[in-house]
Amino acid sequence: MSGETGRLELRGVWKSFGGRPVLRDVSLTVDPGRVVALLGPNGAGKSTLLRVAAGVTRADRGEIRLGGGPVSDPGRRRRIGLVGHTSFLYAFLTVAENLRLYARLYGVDARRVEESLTAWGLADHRDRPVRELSRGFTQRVSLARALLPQPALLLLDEPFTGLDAEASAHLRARLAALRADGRAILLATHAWEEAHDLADDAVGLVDGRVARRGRAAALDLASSAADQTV
Amino acid sequence: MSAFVLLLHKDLRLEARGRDLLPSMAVLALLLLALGGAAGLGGEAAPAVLWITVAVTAAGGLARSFHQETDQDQLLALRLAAVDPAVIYLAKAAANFVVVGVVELLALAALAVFFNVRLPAQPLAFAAVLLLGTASLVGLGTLLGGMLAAARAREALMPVLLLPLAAPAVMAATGATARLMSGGGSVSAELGLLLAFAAVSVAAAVLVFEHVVEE
Repeated sequence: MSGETGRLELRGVWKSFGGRPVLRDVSLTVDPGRVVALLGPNGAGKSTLLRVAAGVTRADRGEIRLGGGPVSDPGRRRRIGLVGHTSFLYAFLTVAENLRLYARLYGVDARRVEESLTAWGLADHRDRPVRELSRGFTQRVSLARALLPQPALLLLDEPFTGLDAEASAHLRARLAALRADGRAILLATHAWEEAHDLADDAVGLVDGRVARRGRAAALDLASSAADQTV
Repeated sequence: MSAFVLLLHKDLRLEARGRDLLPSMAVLALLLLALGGAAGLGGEAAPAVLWITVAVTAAGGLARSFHQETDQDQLLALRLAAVDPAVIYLAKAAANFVVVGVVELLALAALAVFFNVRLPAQPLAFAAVLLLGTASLVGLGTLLGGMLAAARAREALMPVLLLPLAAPAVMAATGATARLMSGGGSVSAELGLLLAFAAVSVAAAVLVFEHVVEE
């Protein structure tokens, strides 16, 4: 795929809620074919940063560009796959109905839905309403939904939450394949091992500021989160 | 298939399975009409009772109509998919129109039983009043439902906002229904007002809904 389409650039981004700053002058870049881990404790601003990067939460100040253009452009926004803390799924629709709905909204071929159901181990659950699924299976459907349109930029907020070993292994393999295919991936996590194993670069967020940045391979897994240096 | 058809189909399917709106709205409508009948209100009061019932039940139901778009941030996913906010509004309004329309048909049947009234002699004009009265309530109510989707007290706020704002349409629909049920006169003035109210409500919603769905 084109090297520029998934490049994410944030420059001097600020965001407040109710007068309380959540993001303070955040700048970072995720290049195509790279995985950047966004590390930080609860409340550091990771989820807000992902939503701002996706263009669904408006920044107070700063610039967010995807593939060289503003992320607020709906056409660019369609290139983003976002997995957040909520599933984005309709509880009373079945697994297959949810995926088909999003596939049609994205103009994705119906065959990809079938491939996705098989790939994520959901074929036996295709006709079950999402409200009857466990947390782990719901997360699988969320991931399958986000990946359906083959996004150029993937924004993942704690994507391993609730996944069993099999699904985790599948997600790791998918992330590796997506990276090899030139997709840009921003992965918010507070699991240092995930960042160490999966990411090329790591950005540490503390109180909404970028406190540290560097190579993910340099993460010291023996250190506590508090004194971690990236 | 267009995004409008996809979303409308999805909304109707969710209502058929989840029954979020219809049962509670229908029970409330039947209760209000039964109370009116038990209180001995005659056929002259029937038009007012009908439209009060429709407006109150619509306010209750429409307040919850965006719940299924917000409980798991589905609205956010639709925006990521670059679905036009106007299409999101129109599909939701169309689904709400169907639900309120079904409640209205039940209310009419109950009205015949509890108030002993018959179908007006001008059924087409009566159908137009029902259609445009419902479109007025739903057009405005769906916009307010979207605006209140994130509000904790949305079910308390909706009647406070919808009923006064929709009063001109409810009054016009009531006046036209009364005239048609009593068998006299033209209702073209009321139909014109209802058409204008519905058109302005929907047009305004289409224009501003982008800002409504902005976080």
